[in-house]
Amino acid sequence: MAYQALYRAYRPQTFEDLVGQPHVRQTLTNALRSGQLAHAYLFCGPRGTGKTSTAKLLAKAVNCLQPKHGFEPCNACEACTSIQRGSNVDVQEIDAASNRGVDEIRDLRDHVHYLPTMAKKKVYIVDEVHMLTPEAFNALLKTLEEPPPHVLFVLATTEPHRLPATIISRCQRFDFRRIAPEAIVERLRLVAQSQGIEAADSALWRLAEAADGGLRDALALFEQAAAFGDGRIDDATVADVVGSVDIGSLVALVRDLAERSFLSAMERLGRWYASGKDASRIVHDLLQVVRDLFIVKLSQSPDALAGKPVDPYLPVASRDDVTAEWLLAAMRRLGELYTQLRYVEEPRLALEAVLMSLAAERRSREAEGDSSASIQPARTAAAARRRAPSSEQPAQAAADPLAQASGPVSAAPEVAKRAREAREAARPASSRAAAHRKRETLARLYRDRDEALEARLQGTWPDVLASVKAKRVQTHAWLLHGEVALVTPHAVVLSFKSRIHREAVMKPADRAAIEAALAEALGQPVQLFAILQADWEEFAASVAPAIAEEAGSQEASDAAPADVDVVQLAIDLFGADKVTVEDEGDDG
Amino acid sequence: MDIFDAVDHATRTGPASVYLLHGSEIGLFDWFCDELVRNHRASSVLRFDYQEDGFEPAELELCSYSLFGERPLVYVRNVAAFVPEGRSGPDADRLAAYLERPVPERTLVLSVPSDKLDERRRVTKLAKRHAVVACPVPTRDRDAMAKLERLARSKSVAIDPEALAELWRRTGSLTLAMNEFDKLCAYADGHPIARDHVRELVPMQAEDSVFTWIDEVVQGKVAAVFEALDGLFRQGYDAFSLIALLARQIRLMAFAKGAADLERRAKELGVHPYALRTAARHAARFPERQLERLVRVLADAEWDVKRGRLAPEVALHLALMELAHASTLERKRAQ
Repeated sequence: MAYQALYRAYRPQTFEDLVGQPHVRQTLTNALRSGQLAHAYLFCGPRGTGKTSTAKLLAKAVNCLQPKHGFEPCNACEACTSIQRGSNVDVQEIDAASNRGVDEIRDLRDHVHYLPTMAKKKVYIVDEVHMLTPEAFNALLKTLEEPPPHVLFVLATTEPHRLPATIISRCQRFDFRRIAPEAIVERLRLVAQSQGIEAADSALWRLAEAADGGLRDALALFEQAAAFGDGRIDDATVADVVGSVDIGSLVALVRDLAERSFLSAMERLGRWYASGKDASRIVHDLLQVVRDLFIVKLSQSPDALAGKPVDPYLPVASRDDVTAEWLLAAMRRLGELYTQLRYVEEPRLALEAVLMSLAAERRSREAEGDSSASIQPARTAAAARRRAPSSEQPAQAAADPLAQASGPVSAAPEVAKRAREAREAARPASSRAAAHRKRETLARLYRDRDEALEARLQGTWPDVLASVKAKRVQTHAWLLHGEVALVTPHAVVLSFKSRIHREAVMKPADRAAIEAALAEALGQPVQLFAILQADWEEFAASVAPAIAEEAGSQEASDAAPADVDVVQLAIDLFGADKVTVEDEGDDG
Repeated sequence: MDIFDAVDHATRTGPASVYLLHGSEIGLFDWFCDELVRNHRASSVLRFDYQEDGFEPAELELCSYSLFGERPLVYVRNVAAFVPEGRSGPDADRLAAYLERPVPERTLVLSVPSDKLDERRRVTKLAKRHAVVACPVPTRDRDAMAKLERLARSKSVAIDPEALAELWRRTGSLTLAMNEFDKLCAYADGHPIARDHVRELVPMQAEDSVFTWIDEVVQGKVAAVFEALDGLFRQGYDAFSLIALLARQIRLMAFAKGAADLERRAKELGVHPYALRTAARHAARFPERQLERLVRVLADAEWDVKRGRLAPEVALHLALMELAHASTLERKRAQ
């Protein structure tokens, strides 16, 4: 006899064999026993959960010549054996994916009225019924509504939401559930015994998990693993067949990171690479493990993972140094890496960097001695920065670049302290640097402020507007919304309420027109700067007094600590030709 | 006219010549025909589809005399001539002519699965001379329960009131609920249908599942949330739409929090008052600042997906983890 795939050889032949769908089994057997069968059934559920098998079972049960207990097919009579062989002309299995048109359904409808040839009932099993066209559904509707008494329809689909309500309302619907891993493992154990295959329990669990509730997938993987392992199935064989890393090793990697065992983590990663695992798959699996660890940690229930054993996770999840916040941070970093991997030239390097940063984060957090502090995701922290300071979240409030805008001013101790706190807050380094540069530029300009010149410009401001209007009418319209904030011998800072206006005047043509008008008014060339009014007011309120004070103290004594100019430091270190200062366009 | 009043009236005085049934509860159309056949002299139901067969075969049947004295009920479904999208033509003219002078002592039942009829059409005006029966989905739970009880009684189904309430909660439609009766009876095997039977056999409607899921999310039931998530994906929800649904619900909770007049707030927001009342009930568990934070978490998730920083599934998982964590912290603080 030709070899049959395991999932075909082990299809349930009786209702007792039907795995993981007790509600379906009980309802159908009761209906069969009482003779109250519906004329149409709709079986919905994920793939491999037993829809088609149940449909065939039902076909056998209604046609069996000697049913056991009134509902169980005997599998010995002619009807049962012919249905099992697929040679019974009265039981038709139709693939709606390839017979989806109205003509096929009309053809079916025409044949429905003939009496069965050899069986008691004609059974039409329409698989993947959601693939029918709307016209075909309409054609089927009338037959479904009042089929002849000798006909039984069984419709099977994985996507019931794609069926018209009119079809669903004319069928008795059964939702097939994903089969619990325990039930799959039980079945695999049975198959292993009867096939003489040696299989480790943990390996069967791994197969059941990989099958995602589908017994057919589980059996197919089981068969593949048995062939690969030459009759023996263990964890390593399953990992090779499934193409993923086993859960125990992934959890051990998380433990390594928590313990900051860099070497052990790298060696583990190296072994996975050596066995052909790619970074994307590792990150994908790691994401699932981190999520499961989080669930186990928070719910602390033996059934936290919906039937999946929690034992591999518990030792790590119950550790004090594996906090929920750290797991959240890990989830975010790995999630971002998962998206970025497709653009990265060295995926392994990127993965290692993220793992190292996670391990290092543990250390830095411990160094802070604040294990209970919440790790805010970058965007959440950014959002928190946008909010006004409040008593609820002082840490986030301190992180607000406007509130602590006196980074370069070391003279004000309180401000400096807040700046230090801000440095510790989690936020992108680039935006921090940009905000820092902006404050610094403003502080430098403020030191060079020429109040006499400023008063002169205030006086001649209408002339400047008129001059700009003569040059560019549009620029004049933008400039009307600006106010003179600060004037130095070489620069003029204008403040705008709206970001749109601020950006508009800084476009090259507009800027040139304004600078030309300012040069006319002041009698010397000046550079134009534009900032938001809110920022200027913030700066004026918090930083300017400190600068003024600093200037005064510097005059009195040169011993005061100097402001750290990052750009200057960079120039000193690398040379002026190697340093280019660019504004990153952050809205300051 | 209500469909149950129509059945009672027909039982008392005999069936009318023409009934026009319209509404979303299409299961009631068949039930109505079955009840007429059960209670009157009609021997059976002859069914036609207006869109497929037109009105002619039904008219022929109605206008023919049976040699054997059988007078089946004639049921024509999908009579698109009564709705704006239906075309007028010879079939509509035939129908109009019949409605003007129906055959006495015969019963014609017309149905159209639409809550609103096109009042400007001549056929609609003519049908209004006869019995027009509306079959909308009940909006109040109390009405729905009364109707379901009546339907169960007419089908001789023994069901506990609790089970009936659960059935309504899960189906939200008389048609779907009626459809489950046979299955539940088979499962209960002669015993009255209990609530557990309903829970075991009747699938939740997609929207309701999402609602329960959201409830679990805001309660911080992390294990249940992730377990239910698979089911939602199977029902065709994608991660991004779930983020949107969650965001909507939590935003509603934030709006409902502290609102003195919920009805007025609902009007201002343009949402159904019931939705806002439910949101207010959920919001009672959270302080306002926590709700603000949750909205921010979801906004961040959306932002991360839109800028391509996170895959939608990962963003959803992360948002759910954040929500669960926030909820756990809140619970600890309350304790």
